[in-house]
Amino acid sequence: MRSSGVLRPTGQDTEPHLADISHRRAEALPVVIKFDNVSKGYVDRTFLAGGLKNYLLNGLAAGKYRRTHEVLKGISFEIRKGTTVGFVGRNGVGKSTLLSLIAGIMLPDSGLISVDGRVSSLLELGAGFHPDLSGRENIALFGAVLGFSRAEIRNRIDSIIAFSELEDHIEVPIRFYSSGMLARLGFSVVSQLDPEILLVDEVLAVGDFAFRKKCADVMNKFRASGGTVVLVSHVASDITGLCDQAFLIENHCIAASGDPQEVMARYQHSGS
Amino acid sequence: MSTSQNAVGRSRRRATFSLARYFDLILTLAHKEVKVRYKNNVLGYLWSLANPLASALVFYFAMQVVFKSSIPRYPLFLVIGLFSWQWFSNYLIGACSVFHSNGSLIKKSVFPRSVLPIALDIQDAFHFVMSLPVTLLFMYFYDVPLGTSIIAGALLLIPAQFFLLLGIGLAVSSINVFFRDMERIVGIVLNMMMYLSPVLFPVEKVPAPYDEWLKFNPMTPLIEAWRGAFLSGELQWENIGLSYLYAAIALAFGTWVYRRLVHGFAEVI
Repeated sequence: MRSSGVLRPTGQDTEPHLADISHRRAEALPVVIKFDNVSKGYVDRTFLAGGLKNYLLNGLAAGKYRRTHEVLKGISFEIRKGTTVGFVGRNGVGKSTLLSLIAGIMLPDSGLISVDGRVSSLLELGAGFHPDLSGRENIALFGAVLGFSRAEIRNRIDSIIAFSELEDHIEVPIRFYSSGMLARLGFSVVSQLDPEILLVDEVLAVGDFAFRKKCADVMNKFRASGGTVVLVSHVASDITGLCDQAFLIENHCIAASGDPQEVMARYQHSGS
Repeated sequence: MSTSQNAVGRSRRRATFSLARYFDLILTLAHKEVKVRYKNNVLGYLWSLANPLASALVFYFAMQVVFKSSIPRYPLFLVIGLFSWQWFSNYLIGACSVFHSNGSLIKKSVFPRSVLPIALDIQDAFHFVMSLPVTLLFMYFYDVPLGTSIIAGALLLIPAQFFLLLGIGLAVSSINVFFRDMERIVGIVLNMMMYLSPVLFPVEKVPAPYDEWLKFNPMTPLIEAWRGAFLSGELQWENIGLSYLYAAIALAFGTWVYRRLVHGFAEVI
């Protein structure tokens, strides 16, 4: 097993619709996300559950017993501007942690991460929404959390609502929304607030067919305009259909990288 | 385009959050909290008055009717102390769980986490300001002259209490992320502090060796100064100064604790 995955340029296109962006795979494109030997561990749950007790029993030395559970070990990769990259791997191997590290929600224990550009994450649709507020109020709230000023949100709120196609329900508290409607609202906010790097964590599966197509259109348009997408998914068609490059994470390390079809084949093979 | 690098033990530079956006986020969050709090209540704002007024009634009965204390205009005296105390205690109880109750936000998005306790403080300050007319009503009822000292006092004391609370709140909220025991401790301390603050009695009633100790309670100068501004129409500069001193200490301590702990929030929640 390789402990680090170095970006392997992939030669040929297998998907016809990717042909128009294949030129962007050239090595000359700037690197927007770079992981250099990044490791990340979590504090042991049982330690935390002990709360004050641990500190009473162990004194200040209790701090030494932290960080026992390694989630990512020695991860290195580079993602170039304008590419769409997919991460696959079984549950619990650290895919979501990886996205959190890119987003800057967490800091690595060791290694260096550099991210160049404004990151918008679709890590969990509906996170940050308040059930008692209406769709419109939640757009303002979510937009502010994503780092947009109130004026910017005010200017875009109509296009966000139009994109979500939720005009009829926009004044209703979102606790009355279905999960598909919540996903629409979340994706609409993120997609209309032009990020430079979009992180997507298995959220596209919830919308109905028409909305999924709309999401795919947005992502294609976003990619065509030079945006970078990092995607985590188990759905083979998402990885092979959307991504220029894929990484397989196994045992907290990058086990394979390169052509999405090959990586996906290896993932499905290893799963059986 | 901005470049940010995460090195070990170094905080990530958030270029996306300018100061203006930081304040926009705080305002949006505070606005949301106020809205959410009353959205499903018919009586809305009146509920935030109900608790301190009910306490005032009970304390009036216990202290004035049963114990026959001789404090003049005792209901007015109580209401001034209780509204201020209510802000103090409501905020600190809320601050303990502020990061947990916004856990999904913290786990899934990047924003300066300090906006959550700040927005909560603004929300509680708002409720306090909304309670001031009730105090004025009591003053009118007891024929206490309404002077300009009230406005000056409010303008001086609201920021002092706001920053004092923010400092303590930053510390307890950050610690509570890692030690859930903190909210129990805060609950007990608040319970004791209510009777160790001059909420029910004036400082002058406290006998000799203890009155000095009462000064170390950060709420003592605040409540005394509030009473000065409302009851006797004077600005007690010594108490106001002491309040700001406590606020500065609390803010420095709270910021220090918060900055040490903030990077671990997303992992623990």
